[in-house]
Amino acid sequence: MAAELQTRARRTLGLIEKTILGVIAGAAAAIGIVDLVLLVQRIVDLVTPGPTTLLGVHLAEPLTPEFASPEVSGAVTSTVDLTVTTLPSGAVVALVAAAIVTSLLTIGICAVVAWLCLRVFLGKPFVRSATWGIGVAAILVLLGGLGGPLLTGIAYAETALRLEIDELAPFLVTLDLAPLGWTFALAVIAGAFEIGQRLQRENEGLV
Amino acid sequence: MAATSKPGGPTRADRIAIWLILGAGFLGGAFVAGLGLFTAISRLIDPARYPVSLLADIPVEIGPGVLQAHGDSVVVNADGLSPSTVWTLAAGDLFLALTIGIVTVAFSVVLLRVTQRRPFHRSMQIAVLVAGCAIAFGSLLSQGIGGLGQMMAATDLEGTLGDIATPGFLFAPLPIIIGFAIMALAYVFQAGERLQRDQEGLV
Repeated sequence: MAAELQTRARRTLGLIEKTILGVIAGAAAAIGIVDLVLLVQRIVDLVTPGPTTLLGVHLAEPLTPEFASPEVSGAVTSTVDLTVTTLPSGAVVALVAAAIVTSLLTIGICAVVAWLCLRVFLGKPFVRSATWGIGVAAILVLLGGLGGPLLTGIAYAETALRLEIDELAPFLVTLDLAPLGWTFALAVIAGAFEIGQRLQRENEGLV
Repeated sequence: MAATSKPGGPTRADRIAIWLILGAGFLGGAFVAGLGLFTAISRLIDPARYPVSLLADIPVEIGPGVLQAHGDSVVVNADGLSPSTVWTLAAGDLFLALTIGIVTVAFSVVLLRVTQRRPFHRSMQIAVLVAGCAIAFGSLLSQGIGGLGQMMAATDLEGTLGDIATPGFLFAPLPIIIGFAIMALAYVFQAGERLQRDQEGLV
């Protein structure tokens, strides 16, 4: 019994730690909710008929703006912001899918962070739901980080093809491989959580 | 009884996979950080050779079906940047390289401890905290200082490029949020360390 009390006393968080965890959990929950609202707004904008602005569309050939000075040896622009009257249906579907996977990434990470903070607050961080949450976050990072740009590239290519805009690149996607690294890191952390879960179970059995 | 006090670690196959990730991650991170450092130093030596990306508003003529089109950024190689602008841009590159370097080392420590079957070692907690701080504050500094350099460069080149370049920069808040989320993970590892200590005391 004395050992149990000692264990519980050790796990008790200080006021500062509790405040920090509360702030992080609150901020994560708030960001998740805001992102969800923005996602709904973005989807409504995309499916409603009317002019749509596409950001950062790659040009087929980089443009050189006019300048006359020996101080500048080169200036090129390779992406444009485009406002089109109507988007092809294929592009709308791809853009909606891109918005969903990108937002799911943010919402998923925020949900896992808020849940983890709550579990630490309660003194039992290593639970099955936390391990699964981190695993799901790893998959979302991969889907959002690589799938988002890919789907956006497909939407832009579809727009260029259907509207017969030769000035735009037929299909050009800039893929960042960092999400792959984050996915592996999260998978390892999920593994550490599984070990923690086992430790916690064994500890409860021993006390 | 002693077996219960040590947490079960990853299997042999898992350890090989983690070693591969550790090797690839460390080499990749070291390469990107080294490249950033090289860019920062080279920018100071030969500013005209290393381009600066500026926000822009360039009207572009594109066919029917398009209401409006304008170039959103311009990549400029310029010799006429003031020394303070060049130093600010180099500082932005340097902070980015430092952030990548610190995160790579911290990430390697985490993986190393997992392969050693000691996921709740004190160094793990410190590594996670350092990684979280580096991501949050490093990205804040690199984006802020680099962005300030972009704005200064746009102002320097105002006479040359006319109204094309816009003084401003894009700020991504996601890395800062991720940094704070990683800092929260440090508390989880702290709890794991306490659990491990408790168990060692109880067995």
